[in-house]
Amino acid sequence: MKPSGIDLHHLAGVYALNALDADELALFEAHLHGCELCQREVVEFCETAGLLALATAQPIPQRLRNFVDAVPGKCGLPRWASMSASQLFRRVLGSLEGTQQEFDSVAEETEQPRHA
Amino acid sequence: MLKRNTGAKGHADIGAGALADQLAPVMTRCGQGDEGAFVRIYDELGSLVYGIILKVLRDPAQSEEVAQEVFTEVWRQAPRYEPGKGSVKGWIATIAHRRAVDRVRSEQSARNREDRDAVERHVDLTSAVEDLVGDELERQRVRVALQTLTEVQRKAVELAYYGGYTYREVAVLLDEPEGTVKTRIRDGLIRLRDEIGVSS
Repeated sequence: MKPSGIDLHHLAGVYALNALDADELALFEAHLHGCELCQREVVEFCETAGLLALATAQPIPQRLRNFVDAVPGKCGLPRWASMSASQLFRRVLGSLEGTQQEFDSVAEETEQPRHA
Repeated sequence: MLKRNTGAKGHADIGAGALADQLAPVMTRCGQGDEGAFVRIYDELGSLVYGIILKVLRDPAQSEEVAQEVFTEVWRQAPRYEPGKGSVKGWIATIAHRRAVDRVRSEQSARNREDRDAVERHVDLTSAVEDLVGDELERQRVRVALQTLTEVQRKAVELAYYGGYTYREVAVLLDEPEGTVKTRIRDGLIRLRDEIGVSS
């Protein structure tokens, strides 16, 4: 039996704790998209969960620290990754004499899904 | 790759608490490719990220792997972070916890799950415990707040969040109806939220 709309309103808590099964997760996220009340609750519960996470903080192992130090170099973030669409457009227009490759790489970056 | 839509969590307006987030401008610079800002983020939140992953996975080696994924995701997603719509801490904790439960629910991890007690014994630590002192007051507040929950609320919240179980699994573990567990988790979170506040 699928949960009714009223039931869905009560899933914000378990959603924020990543404690939903896949079937209910899909239902709730569809609901969440259009429900400001649940959006607000989810954010608040995620903030609370963040504090639960803080309570378990542990010193970072050296290997992890070394890895993180190298992250920007390994998956470089081009400066234009944070540009607006219009900035990007101007940049691409401005470099028309440049290589097609740059255009392609810009296009590829901007076509990435908003969230992984 | 990930089915969960963290965007939904990050895009509701949370109000003044998030606006006061001192890390928000740092994350903005991080999104502009500022490596120094990224270092600051993980100096501030690295122990939180590693700690919650280790709490869920209980395996130091796997936890390091997952933490690497988290920081890589944070760097890549940084341009998409929107200040004022959830704190940096809440945003990153959500990513870290979600990655941890994804891992723990995978087949391989499920097999290892019965054997997770080695966690307290891991030794590859170079940072002194004193590094954590800055957050100690806040952590203490969380522990105190957890004690204000009823026993059944606390168990349900802890099994779900720290144990990485779905609420249906929690219901089986506690031998309670699913609806009851769902309500206890919700009531427990509301209680915690009101005890601690959601400001960062």
